[in-house]
Amino acid sequence: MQQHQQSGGVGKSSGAADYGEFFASEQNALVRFCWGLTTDREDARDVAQEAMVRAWRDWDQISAEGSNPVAWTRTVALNLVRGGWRRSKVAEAGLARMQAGEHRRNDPRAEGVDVDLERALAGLPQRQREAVVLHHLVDLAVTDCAAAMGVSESTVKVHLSRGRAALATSLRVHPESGEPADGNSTEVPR
Amino acid sequence: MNDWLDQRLQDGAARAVGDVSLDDPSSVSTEDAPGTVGADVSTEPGGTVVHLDDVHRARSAPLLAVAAAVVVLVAIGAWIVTRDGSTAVDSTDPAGSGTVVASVPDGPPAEVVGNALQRTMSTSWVADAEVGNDDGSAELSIVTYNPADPTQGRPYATVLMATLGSAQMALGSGPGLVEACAESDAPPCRPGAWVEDDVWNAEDFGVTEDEYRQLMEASLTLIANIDPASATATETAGEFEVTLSALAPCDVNCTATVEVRDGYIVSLSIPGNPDGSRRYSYADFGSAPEVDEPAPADIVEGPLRPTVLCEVTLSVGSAADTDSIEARVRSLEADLGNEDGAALMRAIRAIPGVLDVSTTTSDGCTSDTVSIGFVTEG
Repeated sequence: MQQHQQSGGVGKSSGAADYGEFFASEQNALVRFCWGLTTDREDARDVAQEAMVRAWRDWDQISAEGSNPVAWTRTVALNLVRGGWRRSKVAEAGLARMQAGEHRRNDPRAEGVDVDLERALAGLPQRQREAVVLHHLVDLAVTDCAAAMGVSESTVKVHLSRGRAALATSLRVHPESGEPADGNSTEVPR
Repeated sequence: MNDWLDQRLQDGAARAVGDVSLDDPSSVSTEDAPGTVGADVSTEPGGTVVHLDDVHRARSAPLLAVAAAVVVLVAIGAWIVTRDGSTAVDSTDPAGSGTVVASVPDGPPAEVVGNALQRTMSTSWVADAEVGNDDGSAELSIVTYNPADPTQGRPYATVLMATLGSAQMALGSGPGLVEACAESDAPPCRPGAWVEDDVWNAEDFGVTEDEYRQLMEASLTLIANIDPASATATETAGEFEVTLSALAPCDVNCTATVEVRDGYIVSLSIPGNPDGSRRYSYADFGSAPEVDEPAPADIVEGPLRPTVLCEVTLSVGSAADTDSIEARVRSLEADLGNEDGAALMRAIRAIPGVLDVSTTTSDGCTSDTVSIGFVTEG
């Protein structure tokens, strides 16, 4: 992920240009990060949008010297997902009962989406998914993952290890090499 | 990045979301920012400030209803605080830049009955500390409610779940809470609501089921211990010191230090208990096994030691040699010690002939010798 480096503190009026630069450079990465957490494109866009709104609202503060607006916005998104997750699970349970058997999305496979990966990610416990996405998608070091998640490094390692193993099992690949587990194909299954 | 998972995730994300184009909020008014339904709810005069900035965009009626319900419940809780008239809450900027000092009025004394959960449930006034802003700063509001009358204030489960950040989920999914909710028609306890749909499990914490049960039980005990008739709290740079009084067994110099990170309570220590210092670290609780580094040694001694085994019940087959198994347990106990009860549990579970192991709460455990019981199966 491209890291936006913010220079000294600025007022909101003078910081609009800085924010615009930040927004343009980070929005894609933020949405992809949110997709990793939610495994839902629309949810990811919503969460990323909200995080960006909050970043703009508090831009004076988070753009001050020594601050890291990228990490700040990512943390906001993570917290939004954590909160939204709980509510959406309740809501989806109700919707599922009302819409028994009805798919809530279009056929993602037809849109070129890696359905197997989405399903595998969605099957991870939340903390494992957070660790995997932060480390393997956002490319954060374990230390930074720990800071983002609010847990210790060793806890991150536990989640990473288990998440990676679970994904390898779900995707039927070797956990270390990523080669197909059955050895019959050179293509990573999707 | 050469890792297969890195590549798979990058490709998957690119396929799933493509090149997005969000709305640039700097080009629109933030007064009515799109999708923002969060609100600051405050009561006057001098009432509790409840910051609900993390209320997420509600994209459907059920989500909006849930968010609205949260606002209403919190508002009711705040109203009760104000109505009582004896609560003094002084809060500065709800954005969290200031110091929040809160106190909870005297209420009926805690009635100690049986275990911690019962004690909590039979306590008429419960303090609810809410912390955390998006920017990592923290704020605290104290809300009281009356569980004896579920029509008033915030129901029990909601209060517990709002209290301990990440650890709250253990409470929310614990059998004790499920049982409590099973006996109540209060909103969060209704079937299919929070307790059932919002479950974190042992895997989320990186612990075994038994360790998870210990964590939950320790958490419940802790909840009981921070249900004071009187409390004051002061924010200090992401760390709260909560001074408790009129509280048994923490009746001498009771100060709980709560470390807050990103709005989640990551540790809570009660150094003032009669038998000395102790520390609970929720976030690190699950880091003992299967990691490259040793777990932080931050869970310590005392009668409330959450990881020390007091009693284990071993399920064994009918043909098992219980004497031999008991001897093996004692040997493991001697070798491993009992300071890391989770490790000892794993070792016991691995003894040939042992089908399952369960343990009781560590609350009140005063002996370092594990009490052993057997249940014969088959």
